[in-house]
Amino acid sequence: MNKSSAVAPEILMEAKDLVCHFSGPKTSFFGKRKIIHAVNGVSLDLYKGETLGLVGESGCGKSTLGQLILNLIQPTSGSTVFLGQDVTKVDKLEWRRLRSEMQLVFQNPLGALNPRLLIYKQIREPLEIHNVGDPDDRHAKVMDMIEAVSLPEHLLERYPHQLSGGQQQRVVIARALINNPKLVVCDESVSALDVSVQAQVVNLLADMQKKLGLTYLFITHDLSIVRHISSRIAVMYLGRIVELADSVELLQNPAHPYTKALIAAVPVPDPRARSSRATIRGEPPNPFDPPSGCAFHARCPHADAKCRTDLPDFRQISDRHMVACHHAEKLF
Amino acid sequence: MSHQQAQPATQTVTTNRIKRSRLGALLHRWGLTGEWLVTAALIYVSFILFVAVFGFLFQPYPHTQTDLFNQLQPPVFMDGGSWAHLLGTDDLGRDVLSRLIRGLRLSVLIGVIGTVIGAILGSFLGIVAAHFRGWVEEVLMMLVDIQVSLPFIIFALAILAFVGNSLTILIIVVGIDGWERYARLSRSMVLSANRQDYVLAVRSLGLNNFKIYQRHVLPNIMGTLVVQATINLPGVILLESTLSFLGLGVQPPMTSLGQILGVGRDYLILAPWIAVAPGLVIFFLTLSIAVIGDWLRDKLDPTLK
Repeated sequence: MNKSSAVAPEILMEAKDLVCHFSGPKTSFFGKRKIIHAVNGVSLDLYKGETLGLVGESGCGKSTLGQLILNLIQPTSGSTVFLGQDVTKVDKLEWRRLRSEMQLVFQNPLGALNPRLLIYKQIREPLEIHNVGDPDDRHAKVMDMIEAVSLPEHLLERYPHQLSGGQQQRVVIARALINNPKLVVCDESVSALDVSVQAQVVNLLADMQKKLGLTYLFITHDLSIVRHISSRIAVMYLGRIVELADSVELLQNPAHPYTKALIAAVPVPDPRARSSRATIRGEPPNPFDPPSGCAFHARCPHADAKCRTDLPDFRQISDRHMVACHHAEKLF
Repeated sequence: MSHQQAQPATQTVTTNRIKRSRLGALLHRWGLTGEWLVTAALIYVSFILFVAVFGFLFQPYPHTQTDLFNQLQPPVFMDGGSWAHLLGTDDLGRDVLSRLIRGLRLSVLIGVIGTVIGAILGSFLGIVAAHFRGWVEEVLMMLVDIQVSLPFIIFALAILAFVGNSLTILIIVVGIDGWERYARLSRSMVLSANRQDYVLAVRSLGLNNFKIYQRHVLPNIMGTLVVQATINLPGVILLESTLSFLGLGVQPPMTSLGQILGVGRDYLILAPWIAVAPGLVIFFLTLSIAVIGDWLRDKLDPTLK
């Protein structure tokens, strides 16, 4: 992608045609299992040091894509290349070593922490797992890390449920970053927090990115957060990426009707602004039984016969702007 | 009125705080202040354990010694009782207290080892089922269903009748009873724990499966399993009693609470003390263990502190 760009940034992670199907429950005793097409052919590059926002409504496969990229689940087909190494084909030992290179920050921080383990032990655990340094080193690293995420020291001897949501998320972030990973997938990491705490955590993530040179895949359903932190934004719909562009470009000149509708759905603090906004009709389609052609055609105001039969290519419509829509030029 | 009452109440509280005795301090440290039922249960269970282990030192007579001149003698607090036999004698003139002390030892042994066998076996199979899913789970859960649908007494009788009777076999048989409860419980808890983000988090940190279970899953399901064990332990003791009562458990000259109870059945009208003594011991033992189990569940959960 994007070979025309003047400064070619270094690619950290390359996802190629990722497909992930889950088999659902049997409908009857002799019936076939239905297949959920959670991720349906996604190709994506992550550049070193960038933040790629991944947005889409619930059930579109964005969390699955995040876990595929971290290689926590095996793709049905396709591959992920991390620093030149195909991580879908590594052996157990290498896979384990890679765990210190890529990390996950969760949506619900309380659920992501073991309720019966002291905060200190949880932050220290990644060091134990990867045998980093001697016990004194580990202790020093924990202390440095809690200072970096500005977590008060007295909280180390507490249990997770005794902390506030923001503090819990700091613990989760500290644990994810303590082994100096290169890639961090933030899966709805701030969605469960209060708005004021959201801002703190987003700023913390941005600070840590500057300090440690991290690359983020920032998964969220909330466009108003993603515009603050992302350099590029990818929009996902029913297992496919439908639009990918630099943040400003995507938010100002969305080309895909779905992106337009998403942007229009961001709340505006003006009660009179409502009437002029385009809204999405209907429900997201059933992933057991994806529609033919463009997956969005049933809800799209611009759909025609071609949309119902032909799957649109994911193509470049201008510099650093990719979209999967037959009518992108017309709408752009 | 309310004002007048409030004054002395505050005073008592302060004096209590100052005058907390050594025992009070100990109770406080164990989180037992105000938990009188639990304290009583703990004291009773400790006493029973002490008697089970060291009781033979205080046993007045050998439990097999018969005294045919003193058959069916009532306990000391009843008419015709004597200090020679504190809890009376049975149909062969054996000292009930001595038999109780001796029987307790075997009943506690069978109860504890049987429970441990059932708990470890069942929990392990439940974890295996939840970890591997697929056909392993189907087979194990089918075994559980078979075990549940089978009246266990019949099953135990069949084994004891075919394989023969020895203490080891008896312990294994009563241990097998209840494994299916641990298996179901641990399977469902592991299934839900494995879906928790904290397990996914440590997995994504690169922790191996064994350590995930050891460090993260087991500590989180342990409380429930321990409570299940305390619920099950009385059942195991009762099962041993039932089997001994039916004549297929502990064989003479060995004796257990259930066996004494079984003998006492024949003399229930004539000499109720033979059955009542072991009956009361079993009743308070099972009740105390259940109370302790309930208390332990709260203690083992840091989120309830």
